[in-house]
Amino acid sequence: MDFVIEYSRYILPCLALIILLGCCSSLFSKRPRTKTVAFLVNAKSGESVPLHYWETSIGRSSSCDIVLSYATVSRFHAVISRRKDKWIVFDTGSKTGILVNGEKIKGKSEIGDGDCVIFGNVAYYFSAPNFSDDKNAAYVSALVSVNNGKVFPLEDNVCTVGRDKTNNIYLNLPTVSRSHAKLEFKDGKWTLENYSSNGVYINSKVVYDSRVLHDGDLLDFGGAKIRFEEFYKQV
Amino acid sequence: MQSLRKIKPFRWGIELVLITIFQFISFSNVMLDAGDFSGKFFMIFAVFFAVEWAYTLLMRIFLKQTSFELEFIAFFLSSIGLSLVATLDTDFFESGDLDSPYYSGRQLMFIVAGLIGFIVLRWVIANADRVSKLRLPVAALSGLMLAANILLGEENNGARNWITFGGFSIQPSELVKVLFIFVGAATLDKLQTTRSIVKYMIYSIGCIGALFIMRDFGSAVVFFVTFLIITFMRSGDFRAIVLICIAAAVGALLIISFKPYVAGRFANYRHIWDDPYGAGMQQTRVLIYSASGGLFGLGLGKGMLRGTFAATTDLIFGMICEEYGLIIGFAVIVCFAAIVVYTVAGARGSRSSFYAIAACAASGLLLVQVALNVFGVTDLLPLTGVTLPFISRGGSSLICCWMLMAFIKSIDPRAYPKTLKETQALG
Repeated sequence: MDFVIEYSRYILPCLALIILLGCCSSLFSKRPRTKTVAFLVNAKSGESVPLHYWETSIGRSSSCDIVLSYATVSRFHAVISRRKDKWIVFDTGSKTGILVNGEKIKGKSEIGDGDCVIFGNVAYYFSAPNFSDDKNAAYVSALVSVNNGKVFPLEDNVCTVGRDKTNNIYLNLPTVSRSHAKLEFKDGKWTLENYSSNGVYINSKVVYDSRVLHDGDLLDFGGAKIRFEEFYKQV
Repeated sequence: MQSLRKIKPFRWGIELVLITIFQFISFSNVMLDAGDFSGKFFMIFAVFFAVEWAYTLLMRIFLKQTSFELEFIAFFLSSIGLSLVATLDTDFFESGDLDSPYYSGRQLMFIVAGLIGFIVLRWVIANADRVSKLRLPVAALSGLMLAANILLGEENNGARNWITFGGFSIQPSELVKVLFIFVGAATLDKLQTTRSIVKYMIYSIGCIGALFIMRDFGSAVVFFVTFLIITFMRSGDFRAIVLICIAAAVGALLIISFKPYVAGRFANYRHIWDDPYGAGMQQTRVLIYSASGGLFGLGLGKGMLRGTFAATTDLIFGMICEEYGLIIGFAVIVCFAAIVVYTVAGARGSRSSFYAIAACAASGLLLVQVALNVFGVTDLLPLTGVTLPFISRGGSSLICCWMLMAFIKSIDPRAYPKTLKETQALG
């Protein structure tokens, strides 16, 4: 049996290196992409601020994730945090407080899609997809209007967006081009192709060509703010 | 309805089979080396395989978990430790001192206890609200454990850090490492509401002071570095870290001035060849026998270092190099380095600052412990008697290491139960 021990001396280091390589390459390469989990949309300017993490600090201090340079906002004003299927806004000792839908909160308050959150005197609309899970539900990709919550299910593989009534999604705004953009499902991905000279804003960045869309991306077609949900639960 | 976007998952099945083959060959070598006593190990190794496979399959089936890299690294390291400890049993069988696999049986029991601790801690910290409520009771518990250690502790190799009851000896300072990180880490709303770290500093000074009273200097260093990591991650203040380090250096000099026996513990450092048969015996044997193992080792049970005091605890890295070879010795160190790099890279994307702080502190703690052990036995640092995580023989250390892995695991979004749509997206 000595030959077994003799050969295994060489096999074991090789196996150890293969195991280590497999585990390390997976640890470093197969991490899920950091994606936008929610948005704060400024009620006055319409500017949208994406939230990339489950905990986001808000305040006047430069060390906060979202910096609000207003005198009425404290240096460390608030934290917006996702806890399981809920979103919670915490008042972290601010002087001017936080109002959720007009009511001042004490310590913390649950918030949901479309709620108006005021930090000092800066108002934001909170926009987040629904996390509720239902095993019997069917999911479909959809566009959800941030302003009125209207849902446009993407039931075909191609969907056009524009001011002209011939488009699948018709947006009656003067700032929207007649044929503004096309969404196409190809190779397991949704891709947006821009046709407008003004471009399409994806997560506040202007796009003039085409881009792959990800769940939760915020699209802006000439001021019409629409959230792309890759897995929208059909009722 | 469209087919959903796929992300290629971790090939956990192939990795599990490869690790099982590695362990099977290791355990077979131990059994072949044991000769007439080989049958005594069968149950030990069978239970180990059963636990490893059961954990992986249950997590995959019931929690839809797709990432097992960290657990596989922990199982890989634990199996190396179990193999080496089993060869120690063989020596005792041959000398007639034992008739059952006492040490490997206990090692297996502690691996299972550690895995249970890992699962329980993962469940506890999965809820950020629960974590916030538990921080104060956990701080009180750690204080009580250290106080009990000071009052009831027994001296062992110069440090009074053992408590014995009912035939079992435990090192509370090992378990307090987990509690220390639990208390230090906090969710972002807590960090932003109470920005002062004074309370945590007082708590840390209490813990590290208790370790000094117990003369457990190795653990004191590990706690101090963990404290620095947590303080930096909580405050982001480099100046505070520099001031703390200066204060610690001054404190250490004062202790050495007023308590010369402390310096006496390290008198042998860098003078091991002055007395290779006395004070320098352990390190000189590690250096000689590690080199004699070569790249591929002498084979399990064939080494000479096993005859040296504390071979399977403090000096186990030397045993790995001698019996498994330098390549596997190197692979063991790379495992810990990879865990640290992964933690630092992945902490930003974790779901809570609690997870980010706890994971960085836990991986930093493991790395410091590895550095103190490996550099200690090779005389690059003073020998402090710190264990090699997951591998050294010892229950408290093994359970602590598995529980620390729960903190590191918490930064991985794939480790949490998925919603239906997330499951569809990941494939």
